Amino acid sequence: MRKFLSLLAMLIIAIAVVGCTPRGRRTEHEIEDLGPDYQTEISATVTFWHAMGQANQGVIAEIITEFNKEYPNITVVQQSQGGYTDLRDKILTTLSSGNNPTIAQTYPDHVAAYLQGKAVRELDSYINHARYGMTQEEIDDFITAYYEEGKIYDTKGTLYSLPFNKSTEVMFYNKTWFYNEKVDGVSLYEKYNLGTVEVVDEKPVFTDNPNAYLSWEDIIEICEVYINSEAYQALSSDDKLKHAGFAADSEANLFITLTQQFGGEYTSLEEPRFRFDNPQSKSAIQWFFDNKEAGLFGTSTKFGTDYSSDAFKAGQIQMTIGSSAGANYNYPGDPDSTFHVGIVPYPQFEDVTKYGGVQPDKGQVIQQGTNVTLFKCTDPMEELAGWLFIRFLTSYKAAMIWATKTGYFPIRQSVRSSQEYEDFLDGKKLILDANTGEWTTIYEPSFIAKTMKVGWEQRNIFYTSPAFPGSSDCRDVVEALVQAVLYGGVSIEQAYEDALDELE
Amino acid sequence: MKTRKLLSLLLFLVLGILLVGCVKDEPTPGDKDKIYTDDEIPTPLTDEFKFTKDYEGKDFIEDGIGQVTFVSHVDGDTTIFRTLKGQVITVRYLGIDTPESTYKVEPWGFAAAKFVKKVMENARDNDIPIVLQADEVNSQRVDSTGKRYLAWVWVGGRLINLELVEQCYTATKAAGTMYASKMIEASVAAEAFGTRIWNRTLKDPEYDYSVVGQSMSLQEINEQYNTVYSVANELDKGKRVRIQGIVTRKLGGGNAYIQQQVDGHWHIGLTNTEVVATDGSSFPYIGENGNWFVEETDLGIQAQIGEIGQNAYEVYVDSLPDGETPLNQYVWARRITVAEPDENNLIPYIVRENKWYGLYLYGGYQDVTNFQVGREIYTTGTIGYFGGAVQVTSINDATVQIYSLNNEIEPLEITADDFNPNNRHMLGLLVKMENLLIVDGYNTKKNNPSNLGFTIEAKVNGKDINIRIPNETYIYDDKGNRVSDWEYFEGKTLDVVGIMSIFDGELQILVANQNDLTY
Repeated sequence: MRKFLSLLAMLIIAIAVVGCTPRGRRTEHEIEDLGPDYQTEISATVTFWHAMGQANQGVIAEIITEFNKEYPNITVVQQSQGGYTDLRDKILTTLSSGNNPTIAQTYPDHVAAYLQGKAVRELDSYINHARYGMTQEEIDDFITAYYEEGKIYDTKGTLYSLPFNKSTEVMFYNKTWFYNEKVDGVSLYEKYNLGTVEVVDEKPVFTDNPNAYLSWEDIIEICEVYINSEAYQALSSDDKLKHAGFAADSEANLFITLTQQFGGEYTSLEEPRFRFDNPQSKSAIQWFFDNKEAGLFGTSTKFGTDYSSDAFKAGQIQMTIGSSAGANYNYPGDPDSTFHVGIVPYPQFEDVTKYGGVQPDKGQVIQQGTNVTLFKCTDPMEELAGWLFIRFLTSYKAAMIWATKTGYFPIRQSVRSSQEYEDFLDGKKLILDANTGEWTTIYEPSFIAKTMKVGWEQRNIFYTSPAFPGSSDCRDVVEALVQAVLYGGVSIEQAYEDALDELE
Repeated sequence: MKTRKLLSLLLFLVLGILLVGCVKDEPTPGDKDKIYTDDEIPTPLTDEFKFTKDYEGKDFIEDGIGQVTFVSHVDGDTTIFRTLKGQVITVRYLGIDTPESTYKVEPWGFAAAKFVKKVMENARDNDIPIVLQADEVNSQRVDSTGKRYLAWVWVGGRLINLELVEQCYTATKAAGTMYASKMIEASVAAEAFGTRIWNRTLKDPEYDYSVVGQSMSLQEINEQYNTVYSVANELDKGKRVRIQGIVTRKLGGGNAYIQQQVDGHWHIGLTNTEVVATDGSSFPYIGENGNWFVEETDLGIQAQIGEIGQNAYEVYVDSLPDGETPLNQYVWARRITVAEPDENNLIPYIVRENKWYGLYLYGGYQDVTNFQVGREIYTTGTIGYFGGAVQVTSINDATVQIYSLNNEIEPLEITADDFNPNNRHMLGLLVKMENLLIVDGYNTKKNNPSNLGFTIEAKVNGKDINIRIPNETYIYDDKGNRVSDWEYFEGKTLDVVGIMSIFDGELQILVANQNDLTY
């Protein structure tokens, strides 16, 4: 009897566990073959979780409308889950109950975490599928670096995501200040070959040099001009603490990029994964710290916020590095009422060995942004429908809509090289002027379009950091490291030690 | 028997475990078609989560926790409070991001805002304590704008941030905070309940889903929505409209003032040009919509004039001033002032009237490239209210389309008498005042360090004329440094071009461009 009771208890607990846990989301199954009329035959609901605001949700809605013209019986439900980390945490929470979405917007380290739960569907079998897949030409059309990011999760290069919204970092500078500030009678704008100026009606009209660029060495010189300027010298000592020549938005990105630019290693897929405790990285932070102490540099923490854009717009800094996708935060408004802003690529070192670094083969600038990932589903139709939506979302048509209506880069070469996208970057507008009754073409690029143009030129020097469980924690830790060194009075050695302790 | 009893007990126990164990994972979904009231939505996590911290005598700014009093309401995730030490602060609720209801309107934005407003007013009216708590994990005290304190907001021991999630008004942005897991738990349950933001088919009854919007002139907008009553009651807030006008000034990246000239911009003034006028008593009744045809006769240029509701009479004008002759046009004359030749032989004449209406379009932080001074644009947007006046929000570069280019707008010259808050029809207009001696002023940065705006004041005929230099407008001194102190203008005499605007009941001329100040 006792044996029976014991067996019964086990059975019921098993039922309880099965009943309370996933509705079989992590089932591996063959891909359904629906035949040539699959587009109209397939009927399913796809849930797409992301972390986008209302404006971008509107663009996704437009893409869903286009999708439904081809797949009338697939319902795509998009749902913003707030912040990116909230999105990750909610997915991790729901994975245990099976209420996770069909597809989601993902950062690489999120995918790594979901892979721990064996919840992610590999995409190789879909992308190579004879009926539902992509042609080799379509695959090759992805911007290589973006596509490759979906294969960084194991040594076999299994594909777990496709690119979605991509951005980078660029440098914004106060062009009006660069024009007004003169060295030996020449404006900084002209001295550093950023462009030419013509004065019309007592106002400067700028023609930017399309290859304009400032190295870190240039930036230091310019910062020195700033702190020796009459305006800076007139500030009270308290106000000087709130001013600098240059500031960076993201301290984590700054740490990683400087480490890379100094020829150091940040993280690796191989053990040991946290590799930033190296002389190059420390030299990089020492270099930044020295310039911060000299009053030349700062980061967002200096201004008490997450971003340095407000300080830039308030004239507290003359140069800032920020995300290309967040360019508008560095746009003060109509240049005639505020000031002109110039955009140049992320600075590199002419010779980093002078500061203890090892000159890398090429420049280094971060590629950031998210991908889309498919989860394993109980219902093969839901999973297939999820894939079909991903395929559409990353197609030329949807990628064009996305790239021209948001601040993100095209994920396909064909979009980038198209006339339509070129017109978008140039701000081409065809206007029927009601006053004259004539059609007029106006070229009026938006600030974000100008930023994307500059950001795109960096594509050959993009780097991405390996993703693994804990890689996002590592970002948080190095951000705290930078803050501790720059503002917390902690020595570099101690800060690195603390960071590694924290990660362990 | 004993075994059967034991089995029953075991079965009961395990079923109980099953039920309890599964309830959290599988919350009961709500009715997908029902518009719920706040009271009908289950909030078990908020009900259970009790506030236990000691806050007596503590100040939120200094101690990171403290009781506050409700000052005013902004929207679903922002409220203005007064701290224990009397400081008035704007607080952005931690861990959430409710749909917008101010600078733009999103579905469920008004409902979320009303929920919070009701909670706060109830707390104020019934002496229910409101306690702000800074996050203990994330040390950041202010949001990305640097202007708003971040806080967990407890009202009568209930965490409102959490309740807003359970009420299905918001997803979470709580990662890296002390209540992250609780908030995610609430978000999962709310999504399972599936109403409001989690229900894609349920329409927010207070949101205008129309795409095109009602076409309205700026006169109609002004007369319907810029009255004291409309502003106080936020009449039709969120209603989608389609408007058109010429950009007079751009402010920041995504904001602009537009003006539109309405029909009837000819009127009768006084001149000493020789005319023949007759008594109007024998002429026809004008009615409600005076509409006269102006023509040239053997006697000269003829028009019928008179006031609405009166008999008309004719004038013959030998010549018209300024060459602005409305010949062969119908003249809408609602605002005609009748005047017969007086003792100085001044007689009526026909002149173009500056009959314009203005409006502020708010797009926020973005680059609306189509906003260029002199362009006539049209756009859809939603009715909103800010600072005591109507504005149109939900504007972006895609909504704003160009109708015509290179239009000229002259500022309307006004006097101190015109500078009157009762002249609400003038709000939003580009105006000009001359010879203003600056005698006083104040800097906004005194209360808000990141805002470099300031106000300067002149006195004309005993009346204060306020001139506002907002944070978005950069004024440079002769060395190229930005001016952020009103004292720079003290004692200077200015000619000012700016927008007649109102903020918190105070009339002001808002300067949008350095070139609009002459001194």
